[in-house]
Amino acid sequence: MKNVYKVFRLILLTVIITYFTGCAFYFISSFENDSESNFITVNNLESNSYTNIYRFITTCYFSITTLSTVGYGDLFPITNIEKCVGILIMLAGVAFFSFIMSSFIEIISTFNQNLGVEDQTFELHNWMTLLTRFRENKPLPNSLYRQINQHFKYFWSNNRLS
Amino acid sequence: MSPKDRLLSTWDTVMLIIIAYACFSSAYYVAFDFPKGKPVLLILEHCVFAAFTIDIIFNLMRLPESMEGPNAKKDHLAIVKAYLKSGWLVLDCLATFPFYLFGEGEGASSLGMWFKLLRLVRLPKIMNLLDLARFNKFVETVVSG
Repeated sequence: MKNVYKVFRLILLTVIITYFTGCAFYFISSFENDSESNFITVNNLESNSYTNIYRFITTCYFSITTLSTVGYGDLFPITNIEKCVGILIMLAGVAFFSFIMSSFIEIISTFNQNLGVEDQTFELHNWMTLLTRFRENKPLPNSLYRQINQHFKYFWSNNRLS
Repeated sequence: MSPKDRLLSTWDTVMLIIIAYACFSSAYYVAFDFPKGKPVLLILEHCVFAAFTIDIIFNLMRLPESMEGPNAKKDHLAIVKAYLKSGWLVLDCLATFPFYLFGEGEGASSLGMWFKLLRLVRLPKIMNLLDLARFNKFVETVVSG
């Protein structure tokens, strides 16, 4: 549950950053619309046949491909200011994506660890319940139960062969 | 009112969602113009304006954390002064003021858009929504009923 939320949070963070860089990039490139060719005119975004949603999705697509260092190259900055902003996005993208990657790796590795230990203790407890058969259906003495548990916990955490 | 007041903390949670909506929508409207012929969005804009106004009023009554203590005095003038000194009052008022109501002409509405960008200053507050401790508390309240 906690891990699911952590992953969800990372995805949400990515969406938020993509949204705002996309909006900011379109705003900056529409700001100097007096120059002849820029990001908007070259990609024909200002034509009336397109809706705002199309323009929005296109710029967000550009920002996520740049942020994630994929960079297809189908959309690219053209004027000086656009290029400067593009450089900033790329620089931020390296830092941002390494953060996302490391968080994912951390979540996945801790998830694996938890799963492995849980699996083994489950089987051990089943086996100890089976032992009650040899004691005329009385449960194991508490001290013995604890000792077996402790031994196997120590064994699993320090087992060099596994 | 102290920050631990029940009404105030509930309002803060509601305000977080409204700030999130306001930040996202105003960034969109600044980059791509305000969509024309959509009355629902205009009504929502009015709601956001109302919520921000109420938030300023709440802030005028909120005791700052630095002034909290066992012998905290309910000195309204001091609270207002502290709020003014921190600079948030001016920023909040400028970001809240409904320029879009007067913005019939081209210039006026674009000026309002510029002031709307001030709402983005509150963006870091949204990160509170993603706080892990808050989520844990939420799960606890849901599970315990």
